[in-house]
Amino acid sequence: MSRESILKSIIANKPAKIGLPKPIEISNNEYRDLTEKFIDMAKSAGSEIVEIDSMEKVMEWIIRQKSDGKVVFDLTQESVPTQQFLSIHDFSNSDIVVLRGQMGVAENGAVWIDEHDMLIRKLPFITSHLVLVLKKNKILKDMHQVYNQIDLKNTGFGVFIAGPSKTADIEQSLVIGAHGPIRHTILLLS
Amino acid sequence: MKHSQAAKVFLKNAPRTQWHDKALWFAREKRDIQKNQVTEWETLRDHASQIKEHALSNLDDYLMEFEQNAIGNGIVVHWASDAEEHNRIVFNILQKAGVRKLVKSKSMLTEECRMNPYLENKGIEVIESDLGERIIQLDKQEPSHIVMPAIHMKKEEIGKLFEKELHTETGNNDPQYLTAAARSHLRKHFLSAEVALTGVNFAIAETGGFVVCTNEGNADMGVHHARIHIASMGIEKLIPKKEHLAVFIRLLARSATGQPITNYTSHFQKPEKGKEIHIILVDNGRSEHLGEEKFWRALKCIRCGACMNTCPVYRRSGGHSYGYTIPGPIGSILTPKIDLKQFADLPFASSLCGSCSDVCPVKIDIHEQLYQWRQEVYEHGHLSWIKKTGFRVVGKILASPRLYGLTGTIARFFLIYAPGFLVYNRMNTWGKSRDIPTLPRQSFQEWYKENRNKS
Repeated sequence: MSRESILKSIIANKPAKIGLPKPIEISNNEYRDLTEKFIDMAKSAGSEIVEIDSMEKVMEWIIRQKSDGKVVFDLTQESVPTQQFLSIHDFSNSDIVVLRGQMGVAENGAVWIDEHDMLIRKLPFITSHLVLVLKKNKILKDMHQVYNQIDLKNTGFGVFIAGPSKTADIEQSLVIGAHGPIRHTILLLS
Repeated sequence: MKHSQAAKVFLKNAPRTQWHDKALWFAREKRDIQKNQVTEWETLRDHASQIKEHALSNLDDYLMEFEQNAIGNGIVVHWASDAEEHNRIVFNILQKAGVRKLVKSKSMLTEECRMNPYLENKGIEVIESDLGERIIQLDKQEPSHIVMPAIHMKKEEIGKLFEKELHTETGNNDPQYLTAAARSHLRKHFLSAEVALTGVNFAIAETGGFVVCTNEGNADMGVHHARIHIASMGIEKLIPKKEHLAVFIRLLARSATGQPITNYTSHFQKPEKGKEIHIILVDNGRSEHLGEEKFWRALKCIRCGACMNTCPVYRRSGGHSYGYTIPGPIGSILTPKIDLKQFADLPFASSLCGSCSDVCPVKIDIHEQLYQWRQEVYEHGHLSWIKKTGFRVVGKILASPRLYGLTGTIARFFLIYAPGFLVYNRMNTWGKSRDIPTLPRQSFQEWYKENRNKS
């Protein structure tokens, strides 16, 4: 069996054991203000930032989008839709999907979300406009800190999203909106 | 074809070579800007290197730990000794599912395994979904770079290709327009995907999951629509713990494209309800490579492509000139292990300037290995006779101070007074595209003798 022969070959060939370095807890970079750094990095990755001071204002923002005739799927409210509700909708036609972001990363402007926030995995990718609601106090400095908080064993799928989907495969010209969302908005909640 | 011959073809079009050179240097510059914003960049590189060396020196244990945790997560784990076995496993999964189409995102491993032609021969339609890869696939080419597969193509060529294949407007070469055309073309395939394949950037022993990084979101679009997700990974992609991801994610995109992080960094732990994830652990020569005392560290590679972007030879010869899936400096130290004779010229496709080792995020001693591979090529008798004879003669001269002095005098006389055709001929491969610098009439030794007593 290939499994055994591969393992046997590794054991026969592997170099002498080398130790692990001491883990890095946090980066040395000094940022004046985490929120400010996060906003800078997110913007440079093509994200739109809207600072908002209450969940009610988030609702108002969503209602405004709907009144513009947009199809909005909002999963940020307390009574989240059930799997059944989700399965009967054709998300390929959704204009806007609004999800809760768990953590923001100041060093790169990315937001972590996992399966619990999206219910079905294709949701953040299929929509043309993804909106993430993120509390300002959930912005951490760097990836070391964030990974310490992420519990991978208790989720099936999780993703860092840093802006709208993009490509530079044609002569390195940056084009926003490759296969996923064309717009990416972060509603920063204080 | 030898690298130098293929490079010669590439170099025929001078403006295009210059454009290619600049395009890749642009990526190097973007990388520098990002790297300079991380104060502990060098510490990160040290960590990444050490974590990889640790993982490789305990690879059997970590593979078993990964396997156990992955199975616990509901992932099906397959092992493939070689390319053929990998391809067969993919085909069997498709066949069992009764599916004739595979939507895939970028995977250098499947290129290495020549999977697409294998599946196509068996009647499977393979759809590449990364824009660069799709361009290459439609044009029936090979990728010339591991991160930017179509970096050698001009937008005019892509415009023409899309006109023919995707019926875009005649003469419209706008990247925005062409990308939008590819978006709607590939969306059909995503929505109808039943089986999707991705590569793997990192697999984590501790969690039994794996990470896939893209900017376009094509990996996610494929696998989340499909019922079955196949992930192909080389066994060297394994890292021990979740916390190590922080180190590698911080380095990867900054080194590759000069972004602080890729747009999507997706962590797959368990299949979605009612779906399947299969992971194929591929050896294909890697376990044997581990036994190469001087060369095993090449397996630390995380496939960022930074060594290509910085390499003065790669930038001016193009990825295709290397004749292998992974070109550039890293390709030139991986290929000799695959077939020393076939790739004997690649360790010489370098100026040994060391820039590749300087930018490598996992600190592979690339230029040192290039130098070591040259010795192997010589020892196994794969050196061309011009190089062999040349080195033998130069070796003798450099070993004897008297011969060295004499040769210098003769060479200075010859190069100053001999007619051009005697200096630049078939034997002088160095002089084919270079002028020999103007030589002084006196050697340093002669000058020193004359001047040492002057105050």
